[in-house]
Amino acid sequence: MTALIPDESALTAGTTVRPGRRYGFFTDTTLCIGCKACEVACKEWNALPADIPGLTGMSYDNTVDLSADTWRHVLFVEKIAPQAGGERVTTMPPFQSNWLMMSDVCKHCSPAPCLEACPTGSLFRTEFDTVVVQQDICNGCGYCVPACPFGVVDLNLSDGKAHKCTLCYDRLKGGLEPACAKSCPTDSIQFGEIDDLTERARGRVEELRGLGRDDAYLYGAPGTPGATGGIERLNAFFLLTDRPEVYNLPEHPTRPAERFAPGMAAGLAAVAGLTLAAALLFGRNGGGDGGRP
Amino acid sequence: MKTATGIITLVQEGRFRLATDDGPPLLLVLSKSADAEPQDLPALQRAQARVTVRYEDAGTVIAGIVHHLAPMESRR
Repeated sequence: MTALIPDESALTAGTTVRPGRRYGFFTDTTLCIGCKACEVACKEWNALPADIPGLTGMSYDNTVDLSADTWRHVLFVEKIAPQAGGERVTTMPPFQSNWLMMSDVCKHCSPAPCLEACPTGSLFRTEFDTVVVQQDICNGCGYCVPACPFGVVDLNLSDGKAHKCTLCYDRLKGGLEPACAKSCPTDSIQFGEIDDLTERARGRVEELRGLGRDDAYLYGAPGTPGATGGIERLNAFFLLTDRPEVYNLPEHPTRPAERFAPGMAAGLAAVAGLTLAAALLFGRNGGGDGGRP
Repeated sequence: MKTATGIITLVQEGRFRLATDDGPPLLLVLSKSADAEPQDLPALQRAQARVTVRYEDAGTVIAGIVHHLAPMESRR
């Protein structure tokens, strides 16, 4: 696509989009107000169908989860359970301490487990260091679905193909900021070059800690929780104020490829052991029988 | 199975919006058994060709699942 304004992202996100650079999202959950503008913008731009309306009973979260038709999901975590002393929480410290919200999305991991699992090459890394499914190549085998440690990739049973966030690949090619980041009214979702975002995020953590939020930390930036198990970084990383599990994120995500070598070695060792045992057992018996008349 | 005729105004992967001749626009998704592929859709959009689709309502989302898509003969 061609943008009406060249390099529009320079005006809306303060960054120009150029092939060969690494781009992603920094989601500051302390700024999220749960408006779901990102969900709507994503659905509108990508022509993703709306879910059948209904109430789930899960706070204000009626989207429930990321799926083939939902590439942004605003998570609502109401911390209303009784405190350790058995008393119900009646006060609300600042910075949404009792009500956490986070806009979840594909993390565009580097390296990406879904991409490594794809047998057709449908999943590929773009010139912007994002991960995209090529719909005309996807054969719907679904290997990418369990490979994703975050449960992001999903198969659409209607068209039989895998779908996930493209980080608005078509918009990036046109010099536009991704739809979700552009629509975010509080800049909870920030789009930019990964190095710039990481520096900005580390500054934000220091700022929050200076304000008394000692529990603020980054999830998915290099060297932080979330960038574990062979995953060097998440191109969509987060600032959190509680344990990752509270936000439905794994504490230690891993690449399945990391488990291949130990698994293969264990399998080979088992086969070798069984072969040796069989040789000892049947070799001895066989030798005795051979001498009989 | 429902039938609609109109112009494709927006394409994303195998999804497209159809401005119908006689009603509100429809959001449609090509089914795995459709006689068209996602790569066929951008050309139809660029040409602003009138197409006819046969589709059924999806069960879990607000969209139609297209099983047949064909360009209409141009009107004289």
